[in-house]
Amino acid sequence: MIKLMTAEGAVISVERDIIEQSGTIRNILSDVGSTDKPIPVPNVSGPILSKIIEYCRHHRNEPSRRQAKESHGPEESDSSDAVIQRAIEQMDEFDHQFCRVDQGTLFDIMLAANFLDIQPLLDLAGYTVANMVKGKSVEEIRSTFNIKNDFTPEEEEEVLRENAWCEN
Amino acid sequence: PRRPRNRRSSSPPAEAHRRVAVRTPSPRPHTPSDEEMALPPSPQQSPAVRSSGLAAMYSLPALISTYEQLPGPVQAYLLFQLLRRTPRPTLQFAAQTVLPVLHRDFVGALPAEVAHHALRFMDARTLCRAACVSRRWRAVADGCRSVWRARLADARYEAEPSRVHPLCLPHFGLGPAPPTGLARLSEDELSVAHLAPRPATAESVAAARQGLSTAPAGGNPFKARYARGYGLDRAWAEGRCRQQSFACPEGAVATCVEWTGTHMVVGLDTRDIFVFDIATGALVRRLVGHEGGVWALAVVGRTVVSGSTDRTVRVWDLDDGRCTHVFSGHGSTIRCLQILLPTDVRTSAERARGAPARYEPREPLVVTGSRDTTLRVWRLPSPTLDAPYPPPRTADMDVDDARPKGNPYLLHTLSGHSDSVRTVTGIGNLVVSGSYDNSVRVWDAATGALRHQLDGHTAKVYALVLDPDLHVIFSGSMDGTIRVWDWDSGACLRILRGHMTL
Repeated sequence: MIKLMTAEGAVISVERDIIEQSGTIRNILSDVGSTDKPIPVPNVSGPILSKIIEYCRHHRNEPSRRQAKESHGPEESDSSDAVIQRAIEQMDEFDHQFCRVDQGTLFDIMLAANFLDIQPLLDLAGYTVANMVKGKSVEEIRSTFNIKNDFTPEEEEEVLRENAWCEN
Repeated sequence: PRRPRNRRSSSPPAEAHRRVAVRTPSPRPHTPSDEEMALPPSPQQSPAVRSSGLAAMYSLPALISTYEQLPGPVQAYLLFQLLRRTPRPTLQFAAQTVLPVLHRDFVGALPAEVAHHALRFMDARTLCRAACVSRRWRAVADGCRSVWRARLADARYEAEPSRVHPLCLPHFGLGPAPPTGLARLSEDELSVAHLAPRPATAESVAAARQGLSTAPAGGNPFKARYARGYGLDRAWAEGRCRQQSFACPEGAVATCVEWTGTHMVVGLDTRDIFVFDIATGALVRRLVGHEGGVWALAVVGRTVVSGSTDRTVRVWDLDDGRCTHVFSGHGSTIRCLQILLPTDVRTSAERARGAPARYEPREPLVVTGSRDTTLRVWRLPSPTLDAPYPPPRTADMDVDDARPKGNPYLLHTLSGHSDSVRTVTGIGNLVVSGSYDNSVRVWDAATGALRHQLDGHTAKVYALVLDPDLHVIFSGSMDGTIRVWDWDSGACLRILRGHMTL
């Protein structure tokens, strides 16, 4: 069992093979070997860490996911259509339910997945956010995320003109 | 207000507390009966009720300060209990107050490298709308070069990611090299000494390096190119077009046309080369110097190369219209020419395997084909970086001195065809020529050697196309067929029949 210390200072124990889906933890463990001391994850709160362990537990026996990051060729970027499609195909029903949370939780999950380096979870969170934006008008996007339009009228006219091509 | 039921007994505080602390509560509110809903809080209440309401009002500050002193989990528990006692309209009011606070700005408030993971799942239209949301969103959405680069590559608006060596781009005024992907180039590949047309000065090397390191200020070139490709695509799909006429002299025949992003270069059989502004149709420049009709043209960046019936090859600066280099040597009209820039010659399969980049030829070349049956391989000069050739005569120089015997730009003469060379193409060190002698020949530009002679056509060969991924040559002939050749073995793979004439 591996012990992790959350942002609040609480210690959570988790099976090693589960938490090794995190590249960050994997690297720490390979550096220090086995340790009884709690590994601090100061950027991750207890509730979020619990969510992330829940996610990793579900995907416990899927070693193929760990290679997802390296699987694309040298000419492909992580934004290529092929890579995106592969990432989406990997997601299962659990994943889609997992992301049915409030924006604050999703936000913190995304930050934690980045800090812990869990690529499939970053994919999942990013995909979820993209779907919250997709198909919405600019005004709808603003209200979805409570964003203030801080363009001056001139800037707004310019940015709308600049991006008008995509609406044809 | 009355509290009809006390539900406290149903859930022991300790257990409820834990549930609240761990999960986000979705308290099922006590649903008021229809009568309750229908009765708005009215002032027509009995004096007793009103006075007790007043007393409750007075205790509010104490209630709030009590709440503020409670530890977080107990606050959550208290809220949970309050919410489940709250009628729906008040809950809706609460939701409207709470939800905006819970909204998070996934693009503006996350570090850019984290927001990137959301952006990379967005299509082009979504990215454009995201750029219109706010200043911060615009900066992030337009700043994500890698995402737009991937959209551009996926859309295939551009034939291929350019294979031309990135150092050629600044060198020929093709603009700064794409900043991405350069990390993979080794220092050896970055050594421009063997790439730039000789003599490579320290300044030209420095300028090329400078061009590599500085990205254009502001804007996203990949997005701009995507937008252009998208617009073109839509225009083709919907048949939208704008007709633009370019006025040429009466009686002149336009023999060849090339274009840059902004200009169209037209070779005429009346010795002139006209440069038009594509947007306005205006004649902006005339390249004057040939003494015979112009029959072959190529443009790279701001450099124009032309071939003429006057048997010379001329190199021009498109920006000021100067003719900087004149190469003589061909014995008859130059009918075709092809520029070869250092290019990554790996096939797509090799690139997918991750084979190291191979750039050929070692320096920019131009290959000319003539009615004198030969082809010539020249170093391609840069009008701005290389001294003019032949050197201008000076007063104290003999006529003979001013005409050097050997042109230092001439590398090879490719002899073998028995009739006019009508068409030439190439990639890397590979040069392929088609001739009125019915044959296609494959040459090596580095050595000048003949690699293959492709016989089979029964009439003049007029057109050639290469597929660098399949190593295949397509040749079109007056005999009405297209032949498909393997450029490595020289074998004829297919004969495409059906056309009745050229």
